[in-house]
Parts: sequence; structure tokens; C-alpha cells
Amino acid sequence: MASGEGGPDWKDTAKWLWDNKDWVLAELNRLRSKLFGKGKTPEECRVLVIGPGGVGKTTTARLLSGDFDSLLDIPGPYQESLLLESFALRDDPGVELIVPPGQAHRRDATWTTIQSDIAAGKFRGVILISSFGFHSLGEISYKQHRLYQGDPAKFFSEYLAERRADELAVLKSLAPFLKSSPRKIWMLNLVTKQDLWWSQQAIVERHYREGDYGRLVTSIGAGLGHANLRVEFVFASLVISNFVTGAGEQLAATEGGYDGRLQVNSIKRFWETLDALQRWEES
Amino acid sequence: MTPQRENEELQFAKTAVSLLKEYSAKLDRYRDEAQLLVERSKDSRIPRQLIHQDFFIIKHSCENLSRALEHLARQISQRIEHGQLGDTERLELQIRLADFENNLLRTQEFFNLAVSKF
Repeated sequence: MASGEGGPDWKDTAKWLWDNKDWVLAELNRLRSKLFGKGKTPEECRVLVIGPGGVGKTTTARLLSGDFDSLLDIPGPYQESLLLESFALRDDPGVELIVPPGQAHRRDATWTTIQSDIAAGKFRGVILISSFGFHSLGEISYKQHRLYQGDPAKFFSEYLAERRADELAVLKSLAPFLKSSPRKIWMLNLVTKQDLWWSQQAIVERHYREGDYGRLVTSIGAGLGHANLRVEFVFASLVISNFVTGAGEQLAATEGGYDGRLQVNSIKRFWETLDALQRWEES
Repeated sequence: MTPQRENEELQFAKTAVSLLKEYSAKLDRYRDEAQLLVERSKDSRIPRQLIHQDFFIIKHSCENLSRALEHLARQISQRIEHGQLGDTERLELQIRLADFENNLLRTQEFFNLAVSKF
């Protein structure tokens, strides 16, 4: 796992993780295997994993399908998904994870059907992913970005703000369809890349729970009613990695003090929240 | 945007369009050649082994090219999403990229199906 400057004592963290590896893996597997019930139709089992490009949708789906182990696998460079992807939940292959591409210019082609399917009750849940604006830049230099005017720091600040606005735009685009869902549905707002904004945890939580984003989430809930919509927020780091563009330029480092233990606990919270949502579905 | 940047963006758009056209046509040719071999394989007078060999050479060439073409598609997509392209250039690239990616997918699906005929 990569770390920024002034990072934790990796020997202690690595030793803790190694000494407790069996327990950690067993806990994660136990939660994962309880995740989605059996005996449902294929459509009733679908989960949508959606969000802007570069927030970690494919990584999340790979984690849920068992293709990616956040403890053992080294994260590769960001690769934009060109097509809608489908994964099967590792411990219950009948559960399909649908991951549409997130770039704005791709949404017309792939999201229209997805939105209709939400309104038609063809998803049991939606994992809506954001990352406080830290959307990975793929095969492009930040100097080629339309916001870049010569000052890297100013650029990055504006970039994060623009990307957060897109996160809100994504939620707005889904809201009317969620409100129209004819069946129980849950929404898990997963805010990733905690390792990059860890020192701003309070600000980040306020941004999503109380700001424009939170108010919109509340209005969706008011539209459907609490019996039919359950909303959760999870703040996590699926991988620990500096923010590096596809051209190899580092724009942000992982924050000092954010270590493997915090990461594992954040992923555990993710699994536990999914577990709770499953129990809510069955209640 | 400075005139130099504007010129760079225009140049990128021009090159990208040209590449998308060129390689879309190449994918069409690969499919046509492979389809011809599939048809010829039904003729029992022609040694099957030779057709089989030619088919897999084309398939292998196409697979190698596809990896590089996906890389090209990602680069263009990121410029559409984040770059400093003008509205017209962005729109044209968006349309051509969508068409190109459809062609790439169609070609991959064609070879996946065609291979079962051998």
C-alpha cells in the first residue's frame, strides 16, 4: 500500500495486519456471505453501483465480487470503464452488480435504461459512489484540463469543486427515478478515498449529510417514505493511494495518520452497512 | 485559453478523428476477411487447416490491435470529459468515439462467435 509523506509506522501496522490476518479475512468473509439472501428472482437481486467517472465504482464491484482483495492486492492505475460492466457477488452468484460507465459524455447511452429500471423496481439497491471530488484523472495530464490556467494548486481546488458539483448532478439525475420506485429500495451513499481527505472528515460528513447533497437525499426519502427507502452513508477508503493522474503527476498525497487499520475498519463498516440493509429488506 | 493551447487542442481533435476513422475501417476489414474465411471453411475442397490458420492469424492481429485501440479510446474519452476542446470538436469526437467503440465491441463479439465455427 502506498502512503504519503509523514505516514504511519508501517512496521506496526503491517505487523498488526499480519498477526490478525485470519480474523480480518474471516470477518470480511462472514459479512460478505450474509450479504444477499437467496430465493429471489434475478431482477430482484440486482444492485446498481453508480457514480461519476473515477470514484471507484469498478473497484467497489470487484471488492464485492471477490476479484479484488483490499488487503492483499496492489491497486493499479485508474482505467476508465468503456462499457457497462456486470459482476456476480462472490458468495451468491445469483446477485448481479451492474456498473455503468460514469463519464458525463457516456451517460446518455447507458444511464437512460438504468434510470428506467430503477423506476420500474428492477434494482433492490443502489450504491451511489462519490469521493469528495477526488475523481481519478485517467490518460490525461492535469495541464490539459480545461480548468488549468497555469497554477497547479488553484487548478486542483477548482477541479475538486467541479467534481463535487458533478456528484450532486448525478444524485439529481437519479432522484426522480428513485422516488418512483414501486418496491422497497435502499441507497448506500459510499464516499470513497478517505485516505485523501481524512483530516477533513467532519467537513466531508457535513457536506454529504447536511449540504445540498444531504437535503436532496432527505427529499428522496420524504417522497418514498421510510418504509420503502432506507438511506445510509459510509465513508471509506477501498485502497490507499496517492492521487496521481494517468500522466504520472501527483496532485495529492494520502494523509498522514491514515493507516491500514483505519482502512480495514472503513471497509468493515461498508460490509456491516450492506448487511444491515439486507436485514432491512427482509423485515 | 492561449492561441497555442487552442491550436494544440484543434490539432489533437483532428488527429483523433483521423485515427478513429482509420482504425474503424481497419476493424471492418478484419471482420470482412474473417467472414470470408468462415464462408470458405464450408467448402470441403479447401484444406481446413489452412483456413483455420489464416483465421487465427487475423483474430490474433485483431486482439493485439484492440488492446491499443482501447487505450486510444480512453485517451480520447478523457479529453472529451476533461479537456479544453471547443464545443464543435467535442461533439464530433463524442459521436465518432461512440461509433468507434460500437465497432470495436461488434468486432470482438464477431470473433467470439466466429471462433466456434472452427
